[in-house]
Amino acid sequence: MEAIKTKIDLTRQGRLPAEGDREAVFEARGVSVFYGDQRAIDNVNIDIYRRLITAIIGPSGCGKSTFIRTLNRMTDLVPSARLTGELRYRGIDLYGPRVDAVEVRRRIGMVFQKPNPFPKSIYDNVAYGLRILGMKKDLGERVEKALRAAALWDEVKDRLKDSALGLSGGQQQRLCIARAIAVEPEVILLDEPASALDPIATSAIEDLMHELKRDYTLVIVTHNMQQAARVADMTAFFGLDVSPDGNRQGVLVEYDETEKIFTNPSDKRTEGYVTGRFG
Amino acid sequence: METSHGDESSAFERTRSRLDRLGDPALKAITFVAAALAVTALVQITYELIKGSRLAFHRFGFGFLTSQTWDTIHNQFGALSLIFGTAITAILAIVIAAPLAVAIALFLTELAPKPVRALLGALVEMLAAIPSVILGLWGILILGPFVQNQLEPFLGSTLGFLPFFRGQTSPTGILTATLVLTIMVVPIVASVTRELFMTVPPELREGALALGATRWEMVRGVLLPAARPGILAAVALGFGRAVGEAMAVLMVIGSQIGIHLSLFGHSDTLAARIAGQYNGASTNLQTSSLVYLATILLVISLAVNIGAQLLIRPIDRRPRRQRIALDRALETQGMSAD
Repeated sequence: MEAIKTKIDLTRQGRLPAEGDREAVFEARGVSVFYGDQRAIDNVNIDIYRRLITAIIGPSGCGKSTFIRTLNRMTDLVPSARLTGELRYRGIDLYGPRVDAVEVRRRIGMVFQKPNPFPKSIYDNVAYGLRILGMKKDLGERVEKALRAAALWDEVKDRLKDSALGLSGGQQQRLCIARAIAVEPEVILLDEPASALDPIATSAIEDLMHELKRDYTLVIVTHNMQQAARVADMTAFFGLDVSPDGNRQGVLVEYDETEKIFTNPSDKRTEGYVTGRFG
Repeated sequence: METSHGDESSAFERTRSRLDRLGDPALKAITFVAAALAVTALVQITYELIKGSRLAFHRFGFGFLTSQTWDTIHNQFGALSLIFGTAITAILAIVIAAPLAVAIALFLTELAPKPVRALLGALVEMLAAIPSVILGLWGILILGPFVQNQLEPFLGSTLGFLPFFRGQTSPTGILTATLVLTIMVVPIVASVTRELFMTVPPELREGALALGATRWEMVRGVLLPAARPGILAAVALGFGRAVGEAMAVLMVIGSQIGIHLSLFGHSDTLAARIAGQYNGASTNLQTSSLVYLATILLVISLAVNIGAQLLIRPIDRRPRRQRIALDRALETQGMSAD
């Protein structure tokens, strides 16, 4: 707990811009997501700010992953999924009729819970996105830059042609981050990026997130509250709500600066969760 | 009472019934016999084939492989024309079938709506279940006339400048046999490939799509490479099937000796010749020559099968594992240092 406090104190010392200086990248207004008839998340209103780390925490089944997947339209891959409400990215309606999901994903990258390197060489993993996007100029340099940014370069520079599957789990996850940043997205979404990793690899990923914050807007889903407290500037707490018709759905309970969420939450449910009384 | 504390070694003394204790050795024995039977069958068949072909081998030697003759009147036999017929029909069939099968598998795993997938998948598997004699019959009744009246005239008029598409049109021949084989091979390759695609983790697809890949880019860049060794093995499996098919081919190929480029012409394959002539063989030498053909067929089939097995087996398994272990050790050290 002491460590968490220190981290939060650091945040307080001026790293987090004042409320008025924050620039919203995503604006969700009344966003609900349905899988078939089942409502997964209900009426979410949230602003996600530029070049900050926003953590989404909450108990299992509260729609954290569903919500983060709406941000780059990965929800489209589930045929029965449907979104209502409005989700704007830099003022553009992400689910508007003229928006192409493929284009969205090119600008809003994603890293998944389980490291998922392609069964290719380390180099080709990072080059994959660049190649499909036609960014073939200075391919080698771009790959190196991405690997450096993901703090992986020194470990792999002598074996770029080796299979990525030979890397350790932590290295694989950093490779996936390198793959995501290689195509120069504006936002990186991380869906429980460290839940399959050991503590050492986890801390490497967390350090990396602090580095990446300088250039990218980061959104991380995590079920690990300490992790949220360590890395995030803003924290959104999702909870489970049972509506009168018996439907269990995720709702945004509270969204505030991380420090506030963990030390002085305004909602009883948040307090119960962060102090470990339920969830 | 004494056993509980007094004598420690007796605590784990065998108290199970005799029958219970018999289970493990019995399982071992039964499975061993089953495995041994499979090996014995293979060895026995090989032995019999070699024995049966001895007469023909003494007479023709390896020259059998390079002779085109198959003359029952003068008792001169050679396999070359049949090897040619086998190779051309099987190769053409697999060349047509492989892309078709991969396309079907892709449709069934990636593109078709969920309810359609199961139904269509089952139908494709059922295609594989059609007995080959029925396919042969269909070849004679439906496919043959179509080939003669529509397909071959069309190919002749559009691609007739190539030697493959010249000559007398006919309901039977290499083209008809190839198409029948294609229909037999497609479901085999498609169902194996479909299984392969389903084993590719969904995370890989998501990873590609999250980078802004279109579905096609995902298929080409991730799915196909991930499944490639398996697809090659599936294709080899289908090829083996096409090489060994006797009945359906016998019914539609025209059973003629000779090597020619025209796909419209008649030909014959190793398997079809054996099936067609064995019962009516008039001399011991002819019988022995047919067994010699069978030996050649077996060698080809085994070679294809071994090739397929080599393709599926990862080549550098052990070194890679060692590398991973080494990496882990290095990484942990490097990390704990800072």
